[in-house]
Amino acid sequence: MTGFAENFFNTEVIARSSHLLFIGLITTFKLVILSVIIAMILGLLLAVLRNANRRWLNPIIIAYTDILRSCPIIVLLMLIYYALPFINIKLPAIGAAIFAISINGSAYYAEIFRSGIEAVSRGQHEASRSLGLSYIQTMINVILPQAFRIVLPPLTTNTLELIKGSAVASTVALSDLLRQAMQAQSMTMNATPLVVALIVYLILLIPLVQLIHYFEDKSKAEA
Amino acid sequence: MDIAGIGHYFFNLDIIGKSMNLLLSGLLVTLQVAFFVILIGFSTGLILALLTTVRMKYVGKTLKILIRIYVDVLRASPYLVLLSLVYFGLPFAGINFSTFWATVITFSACLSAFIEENIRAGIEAVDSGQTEASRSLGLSAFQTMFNVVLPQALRISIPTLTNRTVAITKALSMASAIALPDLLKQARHAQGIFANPSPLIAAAAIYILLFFPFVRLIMFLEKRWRYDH
Amino acid sequence: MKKTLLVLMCFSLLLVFSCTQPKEAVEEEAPAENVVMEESAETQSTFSNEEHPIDQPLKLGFDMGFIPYHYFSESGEALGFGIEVSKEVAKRLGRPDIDIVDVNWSGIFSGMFAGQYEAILFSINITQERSEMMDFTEPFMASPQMLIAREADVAQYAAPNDLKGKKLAVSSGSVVDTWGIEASKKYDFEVVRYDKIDDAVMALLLKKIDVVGLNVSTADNFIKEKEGLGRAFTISMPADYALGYQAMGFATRKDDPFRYELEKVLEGMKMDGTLQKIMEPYFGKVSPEDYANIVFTGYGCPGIRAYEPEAFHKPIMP
Repeated sequence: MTGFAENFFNTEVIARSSHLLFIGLITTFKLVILSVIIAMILGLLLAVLRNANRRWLNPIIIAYTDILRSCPIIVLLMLIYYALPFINIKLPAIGAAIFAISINGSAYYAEIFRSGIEAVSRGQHEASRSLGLSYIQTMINVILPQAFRIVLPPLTTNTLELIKGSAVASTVALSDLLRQAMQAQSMTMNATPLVVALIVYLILLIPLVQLIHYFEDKSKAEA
Repeated sequence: MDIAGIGHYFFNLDIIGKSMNLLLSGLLVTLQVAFFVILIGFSTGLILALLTTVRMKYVGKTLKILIRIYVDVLRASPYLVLLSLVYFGLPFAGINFSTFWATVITFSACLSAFIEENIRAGIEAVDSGQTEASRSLGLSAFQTMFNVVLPQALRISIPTLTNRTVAITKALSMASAIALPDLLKQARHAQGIFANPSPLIAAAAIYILLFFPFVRLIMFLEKRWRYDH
Repeated sequence: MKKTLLVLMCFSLLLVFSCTQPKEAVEEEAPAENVVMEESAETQSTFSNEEHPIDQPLKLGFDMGFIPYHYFSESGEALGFGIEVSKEVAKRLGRPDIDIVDVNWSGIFSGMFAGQYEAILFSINITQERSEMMDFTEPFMASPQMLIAREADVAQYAAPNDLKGKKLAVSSGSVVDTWGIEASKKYDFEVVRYDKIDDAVMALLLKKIDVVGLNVSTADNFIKEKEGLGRAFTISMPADYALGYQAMGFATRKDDPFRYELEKVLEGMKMDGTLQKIMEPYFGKVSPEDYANIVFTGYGCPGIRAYEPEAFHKPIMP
């Protein structure tokens, strides 16, 4: 049993690698927070535009969401990191990672918000229009708040998936938590850094999982 | 960079041709892993869901709590971190998996956690009146579950199940980071050898072609489900 | 001894007079004359263009973790032979510092083509295949490749034949990887490709694979740092050019005039002994036949694409 603790929960190793892991944590934080925010805003925008039903815009949005949801995040990341500079958009590793995770996430959020908006009855929309509110005002003050509440469960699930997927950034040599943990492991020949990385993620994400359970229980109670 | 440059570097048909063999062998590995992950993940998830919902004497409360912990932890773990731990970490405990099986085990476990949640939610969504009615008709708990409740539960969960399964299959490409010779890995390998990113572009195209029908299928299923309710 | 060597090198460089420089490069036009270059050599480069701005740090791609060439210490500091040389190169180019972009080897070339960094100085083996996609400077260091195994198993690996049925780990995209593609079919073994050589060595220690193929100096370092490893055998690979064995050089994008500046600085560092001085603590005394002591005329590597033997020029030496 001591062998197990030594190899997986070694406090000395944690002390030696704390500097590395801390850098990784900060990078992961930046990556995750920015990606989620950008993805949500973008997704919301796309859903609202889709709802506006402009004939020429719809196919573009549909193509965007379809292609991005069909492409694995890691493949997208590689493409963005190596391809985009050719049209003069040179992103550093963190920029490429944020960009990739955001647009991938936005495609999913767009679909979620769209179903939420459509679930809000047409009557609401017509009523507010007849009261003199513009399309934008209707959206912001009437439709979206209701849509948001409806889609909160899938929204949380999707955000969880987004954050879990962000670890792929380590493959383009971004010094995120996973990569730093791998480096620390290589230096110390000990699995503790990886365990620490997993635990950190669990601390951050289990609350989100609990939130999802809460929504499920709530919807069950309402049914 | 000009158009000719872009063509030479990204759509270099000569290099794509040379790497096609590599890419297709990678695709084969991806499909093999996906097959096992779906098979093992789905059956494990189903069994766990049944264990959690069934009200039988010998299925104790502790088991249900353990399953709940298993599901929550796996739901909250990033795939790549778990994968690295299984592949590079477990050997320290004497357990050594090949890249293939490390990938299969990790992703099956993650999928099973999703499946458990979804099927359980589906089972619980089935009207309890159904269960009572079947029991009063003399059906055993076993028969009730398998002939009445489960079919309905599965029908409800199908859109989400398909969604999750496709998501996991897409996530499989992460295993290229632990040297699994899947499609992405072979593409990156070809990229390194030929010093040209065209194979990567080709791989992305193959992925999109592969998953696009499923994305559409999911949308279709979700629409139908929404219509039913 | 060093002085004689220096003089010998001077003469081996033939006539030293400048020719017309590439268009976007140095503003000054040096006069064409036969002079002993030590006096008339440029002391610092003044080359600057959009892709290589002289007031910005020199952006370079490295696959960090390749001891002793380029790796991070536990405190996150960038160390290694390659790092030290690169800093000196940056100084002689008139750049304020170096900017390290850490990339996995399998993607390092694509990153350069994409403009993520200006050049790759370490640790590239010059090959004909690679030269189709990028430009190389002259070689500066030999880099034979070898196999290492766990200490207990070293005895069983004496030649490629012994690899039958075994697993060889390589860094994806390295020269050993290329060798492995053909050799694995010929000698019937499996090649496992990791993104980082670190991961490959870790897999070796964890008994996930049987042997690792890598550069000799890096191999020796791993053997020194990590317990339980030993040398198996050196890989004999066909030399791509007339000189006989594998060597490293600097790489730039195709037709990038920056290559000329890098070459001038490299030659200067060879001639005034700086390169050898930096090499010594890492690799021991540099033998006279080493590429570090040979300056080639013109630009580029003999026998490889983009070799310009007639382009005589002055090296850059402070």
